Amino acid sequence: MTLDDRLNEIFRDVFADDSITVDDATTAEDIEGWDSLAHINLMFSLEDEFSVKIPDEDFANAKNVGEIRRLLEEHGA
Amino acid sequence: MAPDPRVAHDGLGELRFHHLGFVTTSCEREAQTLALLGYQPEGEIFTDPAQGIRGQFLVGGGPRVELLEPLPGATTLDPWLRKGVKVYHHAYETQLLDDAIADARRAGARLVSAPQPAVAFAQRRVAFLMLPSMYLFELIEQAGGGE
Repeated sequence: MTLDDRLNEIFRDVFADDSITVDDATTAEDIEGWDSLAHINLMFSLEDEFSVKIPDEDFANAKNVGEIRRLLEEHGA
Repeated sequence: MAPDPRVAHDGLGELRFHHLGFVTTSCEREAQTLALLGYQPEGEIFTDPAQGIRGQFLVGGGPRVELLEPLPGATTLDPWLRKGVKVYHHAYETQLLDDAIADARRAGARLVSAPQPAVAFAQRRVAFLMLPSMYLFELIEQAGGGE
């Protein structure tokens, strides 16, 4: 499974929506329910899935899925 | 002697329970409702623009409660208000706030709000962390803490 596939699975699971497909440009504006709480839930889920640890501030500042992807890759995903 | 149940003895050093955070759209209406359970105001309603909230502590009906209502235009409490959640955080006092935060992060909690002075606590610093189970908790620096 590619990183893209795994990202999509996580987003679909966190937001309980199997129709979600993300790309690097996807932001919180594009997904219903992606608020500050969901952002934290996303972080926990991604860290768990990819067995990585991302600094709180870095993830909090990630503006789109592309930046989240880069953080995952930088930390070993 | 049995340990004081109000003081957490494991994990994050010595924490003293302070309050449950209770989100509401109206502190006044919520206080009236909780009076049915024996709660009475502890102090006046306070406003904290930095946190985007107005709040009030209540005591008497059980654990101390901190009612929190969003200020106009503030969105801090929106995720819980949207979900209809009422009790949304536990809060504890600690003598060594920075150490407690570091311990919590080592144990897997995520810092969601860095320490900042809080009106509710006479400008003592508070920080908010999220447990991996997605439950929020607050750490409050005790008076004289960090010395």
